[in-house]
Amino acid sequence: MKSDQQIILELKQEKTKQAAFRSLVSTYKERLYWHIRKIVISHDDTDDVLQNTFIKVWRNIDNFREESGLFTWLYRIATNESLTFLNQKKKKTFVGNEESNDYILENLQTDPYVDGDEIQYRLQKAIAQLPDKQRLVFNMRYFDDIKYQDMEKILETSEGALKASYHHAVKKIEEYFKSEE
Amino acid sequence: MMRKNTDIWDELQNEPLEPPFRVPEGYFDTLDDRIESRIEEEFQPVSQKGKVIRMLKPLLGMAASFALVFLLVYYPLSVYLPDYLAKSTDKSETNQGIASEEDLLYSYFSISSNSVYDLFANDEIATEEEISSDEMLDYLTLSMNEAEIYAELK
Repeated sequence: MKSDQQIILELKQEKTKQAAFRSLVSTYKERLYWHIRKIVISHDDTDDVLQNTFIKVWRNIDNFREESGLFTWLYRIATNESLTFLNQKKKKTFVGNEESNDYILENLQTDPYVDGDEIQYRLQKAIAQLPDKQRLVFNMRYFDDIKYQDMEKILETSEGALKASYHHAVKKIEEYFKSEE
Repeated sequence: MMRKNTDIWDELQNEPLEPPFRVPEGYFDTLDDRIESRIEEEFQPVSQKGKVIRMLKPLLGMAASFALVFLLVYYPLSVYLPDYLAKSTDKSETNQGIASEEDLLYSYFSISSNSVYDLFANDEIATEEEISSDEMLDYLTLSMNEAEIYAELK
């Protein structure tokens, strides 16, 4: 497997660009898929957003600044694409209420590729109640164990704000479980 | 003993669960190819020939619609009113050269009852000129007796 550094170097040269892009897709497709999937929930939506993400990556390769790191850059594009997609869906489906997470809850109930045990499902329902920002931070920290320093670069927010978001998210999930008793 | 929900959450915090999502079989195997073909589709360079066709498309469309209008007007005129068309072509040739499509269209739609009358009146005049005095006399002898003819001539 090629290193990020090597992929970046080859992406910048017209001769090796296509092959390097193939390596990039192959290296990051699964990680980005699961990152997007936790945000949009439905498999079909994830597939759309993932393809759009890679198309955006291809289109903007020349604007990529190496100091941000390939991983950070890809996650940032995937996150933005996911949130844009969700907002568009919410506007279309639920008469413009962007705060509503009904679309995510509906996906959770109807997507044929959502299964698992009862506790897993209940945890997802609890996460679905959170506002998008808290949901995003919680997913990245809880499931992917991404460090706050990395999250800071991806989401372009301060570490303090991220910690506060995570703290609020945990409290709300705890309350959700308590309220079910 | 049944576990409390708060206990479940405490456990979940200590030992994170995997999300309950799965993917269709073979999804990741075909993903690379699908992404590649979408990129090829969206970023395919347009050839010089393609550029010319794209530029000419609106012009060709306009030419085709003018040709269609011309056929729709000229063909019925040439079939149903060939004399009129010949006449108006002669007139327009002497006055303004070749008739434009607009002129044809205008003349087609502006045919009034008077102009139709004019068309047939011309035919009647031509018929009158061709009848000789002998033919007229024959016609009259068929429908009148000798006394009536005599009275008429007198």
